[in-house]
Amino acid sequence: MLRIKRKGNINGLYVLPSIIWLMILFVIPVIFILAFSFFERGTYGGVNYIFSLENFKLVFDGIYIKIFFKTVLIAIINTILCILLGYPLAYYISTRKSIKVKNLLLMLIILPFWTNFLIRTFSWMIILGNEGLINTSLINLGIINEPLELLFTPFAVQIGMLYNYLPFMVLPIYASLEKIDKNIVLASNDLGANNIKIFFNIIFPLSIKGLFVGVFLVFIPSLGEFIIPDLLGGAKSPMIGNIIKDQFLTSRNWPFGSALVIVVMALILITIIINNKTFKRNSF
Amino acid sequence: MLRIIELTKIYVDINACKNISLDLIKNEFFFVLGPSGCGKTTLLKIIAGLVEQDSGTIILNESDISVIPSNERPFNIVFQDYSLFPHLNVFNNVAFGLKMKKVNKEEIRNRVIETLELLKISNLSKRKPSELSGGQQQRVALARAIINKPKVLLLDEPLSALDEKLRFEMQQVLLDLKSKLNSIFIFVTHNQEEALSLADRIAVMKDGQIVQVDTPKNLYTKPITKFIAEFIGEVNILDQKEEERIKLIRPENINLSQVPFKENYYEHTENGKIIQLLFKGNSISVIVSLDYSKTFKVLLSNIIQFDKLEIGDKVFLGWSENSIIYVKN
Repeated sequence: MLRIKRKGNINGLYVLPSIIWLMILFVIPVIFILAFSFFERGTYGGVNYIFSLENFKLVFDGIYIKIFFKTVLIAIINTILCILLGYPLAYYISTRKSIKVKNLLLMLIILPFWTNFLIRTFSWMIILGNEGLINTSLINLGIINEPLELLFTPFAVQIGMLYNYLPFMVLPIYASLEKIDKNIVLASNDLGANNIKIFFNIIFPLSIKGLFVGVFLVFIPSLGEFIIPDLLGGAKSPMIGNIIKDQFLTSRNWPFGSALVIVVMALILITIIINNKTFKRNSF
Repeated sequence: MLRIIELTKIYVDINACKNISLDLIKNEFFFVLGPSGCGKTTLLKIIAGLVEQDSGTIILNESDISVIPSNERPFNIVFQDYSLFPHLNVFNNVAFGLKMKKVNKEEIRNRVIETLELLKISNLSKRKPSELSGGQQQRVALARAIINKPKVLLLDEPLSALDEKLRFEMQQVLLDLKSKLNSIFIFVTHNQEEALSLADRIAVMKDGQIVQVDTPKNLYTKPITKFIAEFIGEVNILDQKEEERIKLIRPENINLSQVPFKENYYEHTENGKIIQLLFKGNSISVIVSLDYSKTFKVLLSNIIQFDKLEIGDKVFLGWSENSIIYVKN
């Protein structure tokens, strides 16, 4: 009994470095941000340590709440598009018979990660711009006379987000599809299910965990995205991430920026709780 | 009646099934017995329609069913690893086949309850497969198959994963089903004891081919090849001089004595030294080394009479001509 107890204590030590790491780099900054959000902004950009709820009032002010809703909408659309494109892709890869083909396709999914995220996003500017790949091709083919306005639109933001987040949807779905026992599929076939019924009764329910993970990995970072709207959306379509960045870097209104962060974090927390509940209901 | 005619399936480099023909009848336990990798599971999957044969036909009651896809064949498999649907509870696992056939809900409910009762697992209906023991999972797998009242029930190694007690229970369950289900039963196993104790007929399979089809008793007493004789039970090779025929004798058909037999009491006699004694509870297995560096296995069932045997003892072996088995090489 005593030995087990002592051993348990030593095991506790193993997690100490990561606890310290998280304390310094995560918990303490979050506490700072939480505290800042209840202070007043200083005249020249600092923080006056006077309690105030003004920052939160401002968050729920017309403009900002609109941007909030727009951000959530963009994140939701992005998640849905990632599912619609990612699920069939993951399914296609998992049903390839040859392991070589599978690995090649997975490689292609991961390949973009070998290039810097900024460069990949910049390259979309080249593709979508007025003199970019799409417009010049269409003009040269005589389909259009004037270049289409593609860059610096919500469409460009949505395309850029889809492009960047798709692998985060494909990989977990692929992993869960790959784990499904082939005999279970055969068993359902043997019991009278045709291919469509096999998919909806067996394969989809058994891959839903991967889908949830994908939703996590896409929706949450999408909420905080600011580089893609910055580069592809121009000044016209900021997301909440852009506003937060501006508060800390340009406007130097740290308390307001902190309040925005707290609201985004609350939103993310709610998402996680909802997702976890559905996850548990679907566990087996 | 199910007729399998010249069924062949060739995988790259290996013959999974080679020209297999079998006739199967209702209410009979038919076993396909063979070592692992002999192609017996492939045969089972072809019959179920889960694997397509290269050639050959399967005829059920006069009609060719080898063109019917597996989901429309009135056949059901009980998989070796059970393959229950992990996301569905026992009730929905068992109901699956009927749901696929769009049977109405009321009837599904009644038939599931009835089937669960038949297999004595009514109390498990709300559990998920992960919450069941191996024996319970097997009953669910069996329930899931028989609820569809299949014309042919295919069972892949149904008893091999169970311990002694559960195996006996499951044997009783299966024998009970035999009289109730009115189906053709095809079992696949590598376990000869399992096959001998349950089968009405056994087909022994080797390298994708059927070697012999017969009753358990005939297979044991009149095996046609050395492979079958060695695979089902144990044998001692008496002499391999003739090219075509080999003479074998079962260990239990050899008599052992510590004193020489009377002259002409047995047609064949040998003598040697005991080099090993294996106590098996209800019997003793004795390994005897003959003078000319050959060993014989002898099985003694009267353990009291041979209580005094010790390693190194000189013993005399004798057997009669009619207990010798002649097989093809």
